[in-house]
Amino acid sequence: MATTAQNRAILREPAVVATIILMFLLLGLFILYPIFSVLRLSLTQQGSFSVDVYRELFNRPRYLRSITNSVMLGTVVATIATIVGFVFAFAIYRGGIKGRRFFQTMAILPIISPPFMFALSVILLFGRNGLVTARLLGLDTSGLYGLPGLILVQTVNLFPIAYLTLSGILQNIDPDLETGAMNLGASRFTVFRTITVPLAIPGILASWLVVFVTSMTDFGNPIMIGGSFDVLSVQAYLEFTGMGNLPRGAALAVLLLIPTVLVYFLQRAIMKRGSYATVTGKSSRRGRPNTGRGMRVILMTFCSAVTFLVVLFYGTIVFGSFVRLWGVDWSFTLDHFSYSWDVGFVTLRNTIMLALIATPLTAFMGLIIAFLTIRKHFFGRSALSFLSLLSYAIPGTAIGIGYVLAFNAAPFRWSGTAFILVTAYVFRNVPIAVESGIAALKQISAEIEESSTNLGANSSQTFRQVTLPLIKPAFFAGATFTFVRSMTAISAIIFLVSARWNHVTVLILAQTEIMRLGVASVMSTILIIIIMAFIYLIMKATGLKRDQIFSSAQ
Amino acid sequence: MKRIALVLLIAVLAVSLAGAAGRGETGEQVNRVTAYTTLDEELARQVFNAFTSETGIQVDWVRLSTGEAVARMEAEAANPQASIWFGGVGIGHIEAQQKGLTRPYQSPAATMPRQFRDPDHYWHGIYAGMLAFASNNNVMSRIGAEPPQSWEDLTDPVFRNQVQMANPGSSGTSYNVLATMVQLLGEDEAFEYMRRLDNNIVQYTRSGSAPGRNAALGEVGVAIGYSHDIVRLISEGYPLSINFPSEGAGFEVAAISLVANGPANQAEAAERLLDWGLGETAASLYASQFVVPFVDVPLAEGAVPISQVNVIDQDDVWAAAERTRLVDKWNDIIGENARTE
Amino acid sequence: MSETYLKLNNLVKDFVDGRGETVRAVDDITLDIQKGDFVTLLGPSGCGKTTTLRMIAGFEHPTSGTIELHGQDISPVPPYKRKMPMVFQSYALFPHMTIFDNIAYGLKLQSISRDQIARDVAEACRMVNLSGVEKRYPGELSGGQQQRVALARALVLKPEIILFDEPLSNLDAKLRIQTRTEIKRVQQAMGVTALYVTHDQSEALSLSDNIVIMNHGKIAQSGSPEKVYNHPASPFVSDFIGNANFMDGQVTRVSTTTVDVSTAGGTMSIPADRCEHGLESGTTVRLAIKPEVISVNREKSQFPVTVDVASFVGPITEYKLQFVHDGSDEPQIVTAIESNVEGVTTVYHAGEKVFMHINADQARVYKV
Repeated sequence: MATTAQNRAILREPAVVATIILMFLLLGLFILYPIFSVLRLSLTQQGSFSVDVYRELFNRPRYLRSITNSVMLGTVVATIATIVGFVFAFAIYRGGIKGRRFFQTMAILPIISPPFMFALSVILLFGRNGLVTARLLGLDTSGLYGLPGLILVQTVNLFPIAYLTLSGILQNIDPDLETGAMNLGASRFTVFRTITVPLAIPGILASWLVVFVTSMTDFGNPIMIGGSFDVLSVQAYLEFTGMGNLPRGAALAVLLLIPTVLVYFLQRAIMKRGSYATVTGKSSRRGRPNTGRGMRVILMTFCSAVTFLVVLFYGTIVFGSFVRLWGVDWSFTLDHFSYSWDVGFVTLRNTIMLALIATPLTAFMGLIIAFLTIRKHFFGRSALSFLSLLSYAIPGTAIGIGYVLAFNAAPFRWSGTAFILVTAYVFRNVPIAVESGIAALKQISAEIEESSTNLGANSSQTFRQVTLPLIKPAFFAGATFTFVRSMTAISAIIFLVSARWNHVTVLILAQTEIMRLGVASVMSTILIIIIMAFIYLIMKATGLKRDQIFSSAQ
Repeated sequence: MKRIALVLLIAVLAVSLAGAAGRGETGEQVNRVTAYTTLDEELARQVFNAFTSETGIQVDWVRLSTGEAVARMEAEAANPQASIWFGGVGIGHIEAQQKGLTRPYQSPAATMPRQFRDPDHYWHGIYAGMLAFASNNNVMSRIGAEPPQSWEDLTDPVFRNQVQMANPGSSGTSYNVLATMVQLLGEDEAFEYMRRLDNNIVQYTRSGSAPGRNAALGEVGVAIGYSHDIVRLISEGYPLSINFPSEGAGFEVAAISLVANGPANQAEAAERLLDWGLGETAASLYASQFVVPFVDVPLAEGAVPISQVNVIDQDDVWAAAERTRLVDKWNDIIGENARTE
Repeated sequence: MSETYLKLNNLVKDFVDGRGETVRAVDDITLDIQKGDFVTLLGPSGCGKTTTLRMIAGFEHPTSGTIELHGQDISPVPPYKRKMPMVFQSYALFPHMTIFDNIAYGLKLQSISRDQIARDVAEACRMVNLSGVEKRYPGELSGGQQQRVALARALVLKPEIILFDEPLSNLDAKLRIQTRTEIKRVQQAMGVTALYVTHDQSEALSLSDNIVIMNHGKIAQSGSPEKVYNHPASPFVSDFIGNANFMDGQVTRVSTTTVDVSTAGGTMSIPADRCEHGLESGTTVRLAIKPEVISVNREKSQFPVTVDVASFVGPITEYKLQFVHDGSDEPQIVTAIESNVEGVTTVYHAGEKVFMHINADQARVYKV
């Protein structure tokens, strides 16, 4: 709560005031205004307010079904992925299984994949011409398309989200609690049931909600293997882009937007209120594994099976890059590489360039907002942090449609430019940078910054010489994720690409649809290699550890 | 803090300026043209590369299905990004014309028969292609079926989950199927037919050329698509059979239109591209992809001229005007016929 | 020599708490600090001492009242221009800078030559007996060393005043005493004014020229260590600075030299100059008795008591003695301290029945 005196204090630093105003303007223009445009279009008929578009949607079974389908998909995937993530985290941090470092890597690997990459693998493995289904088992099945395929693909894609949240929580449960409970006479299972699980409940709920939203708003997987299982994100895209029914597309995006925003803030409330941080903070402090031998074998098997699936999915993509014609002609070829080079080189170069422009901008902006909201007292502080986190809750589909609507007419005629892509990257990812900045700032005691001020440094000197170096890890974690997410973006980007500025994921989607699976595989492989190289370079250049970078992925 | 804010501000401005410059709104004519194309990706690549090497004009292009192209032009109507829409089903070009999204241009290169161009010079036909079925021979023998010979054959339960067509909303090819059926059977029976057909459809794709490729790979048994796509796949060695529906086939007139109020500095380049697209070099490229262009050039082996097929008497102006209503109706009917497998 | 350096005039600070209610942290503080003095703000946590210090440093803005430096109101001066280096409880060393860079930090913000900076840093290190660690990082130093760095970082700026915010509370007992001697020595050598915040009365007593005892945002008493220790102005000060025991009683007789007070254990005669003014026969009063003026022995004297706990701490033994009031079931516990002289004093053990004797000359009497 900023008092009048504090507001007055802020006024003594005009640069800070200017920055606050600038941040509000940017967030208002690039987050609020597009969403407002979507709402306005969906609620207008012939220039006046009307709910006709929505009434029509609710009268047509196809759209009703895509709503229920989206919710059902989200529910199933959230449940399975949270269980998988929990078992993984438990096995690694409490189960005492062997090969922890290996499994830790495997559990976060899917995070850096383009969202539809596993859909491509699944088509290659389990489709009509699938390596497993057709070639090994001799099955002829279309069962992959639709709900079952989506569940498989999204679970593998999204369980790392649950894993990261829950491993953080499980690490923070003081092992002495479990030891203590055993010491009081509880069996291993009783300890698990009465101590471990209850302490992890907020994390489990939060993971479930995040996965639910991510699954519901996913666009890449359903459009590839959704089959006749209609979901909202795809329907919104088809209406808006395919049928040219802009108001209906906007309305579908709004229907997607409402639950995601609600769930997102519910999740934040749960994490804030319900996390029993029993922290002493040292994640290196590990208790004795709370498992018996038999349990360890089961956990090990489970983790190995999931890992096998992840490796298999990646391997298939790499393998597919060299197969002349999947399912028909299995001979070796490098043709897909030369074709990809011809078709995709310019796009790939532009994608990387724009991601590289967006990356530092996002990280900087995130840090500035985090700094302002944590360290400065001013009127509208909570509004600023709310605004900056809001875009995380907004589905990419809604952002994409919003940008098309908002920035295609004077005074903001930006459609078709690189600028609109860069702003989409920046404002889609700024919440991650803000969150990791806030987490880092909270760990730096205010006294350190005060002592700098006290020794004669003004706000900007303090920020540059003390705060900035100390939040470097958060900065690079935010930057890395902005890069990864910009390179793998599709749900918003597909509305914004143009002939001049295409995006490599949109190309991959197009190649997959026309069944040039080899080319799609090559492009996916190259994309993954670029992302991994980028992460490697960041780690080398900054000396950051993998965990520091991935901590912001939750 | 001040300096960081300044750096950020400068960066934002720089990117926006770069963006503006990229659009090149300086008024001066540029050697560059932005195109939306509905040609098959590979053909589009050959065509635009040939144009660039002949004229030095750079083409920035993106492939969109017919529906996507119209929607994109409509969404961008206030600030069009592209100068030309190259390829795509004639119905879509007529719809774009009806919506005021394209502009007339009297091309000196327009030599095609009258029925394949717009009397008011809005769209210009480049080739015709008939709807046909592509059946994968291996799948046929596996399921013990003969390739379908008629629209009616397609609804045979033996083809359950074996048929693929595109979504009539996004694909001009597929809307052509819907319009054909309405013209053949009358509206009520046509939708009854689409409902029965839906039982056999495994997935509606976004793009009209995807089902043919899926059939080629055996991913599906039968695809509905344009004959030239199917002939090309056969010539590439895929185990496909081509059949024309005995009741009568609809056909497309692939066309080129210029976008209304497109970037002013590209206007000349866009007109040159259109002229060139109607000419002989372009036609022989189309022909190499097994289509039968309106310009007289040597045809590829296996290409089927429209005269050899039983085509329906097609009213594209009607079809274009009815598109939204028919697609909505189709959505309702397929939506009711809910299947989740 | 005695000139007012820093002056606080009717300083008030309100905070808004989590429920939106206004809490007055500092309530009308007026204080003069003389140049070169070592002044301590002493009080329990939440008494407003740290808030007062932070207002002086400029981190908080007074709700009302002024702070004057050399007679000039410094409210408009931002914290980074006040030249009042502070030594923080957490030391607040910059973890990403070497010790040298930490100490040089304030100097580098001014336009001072590199050579001069090096000389000044070396001098500051010498002052605090810190050498050979300039190239290390704070994380590699012990708590005591970090404390010296924090002090050197303040000293190097050659300030007129240094602010200390509970600087010793993170050190262990022995190091605390050693470091506080160090602080006093350096402060005297430099002739710098010091304003020191602590809740530890022994720190305050040993360091200060002047102690300001605060409670609930107000000044409870201020004065020299001897004055506040020997003449506490209120039961609060008695308790806080001397850990006094309290006994309730009633005045039975007032004469020019003594006041007789009847208590549970009998009547005591207390010198009049140790009593609050305006007492008369019948006034209900409270006696404050420091532990060291209570002696424990086996000879029958004032109060028969039971030893509840006996804590032998080397030079002294601290007793918790339990006795029963007349007409009350609640046992009262008093604390007594006995010096241990080997072969002379006896150490009693828990459960023993003994007697305690209160030296009435050393008690203080307050009106209730």
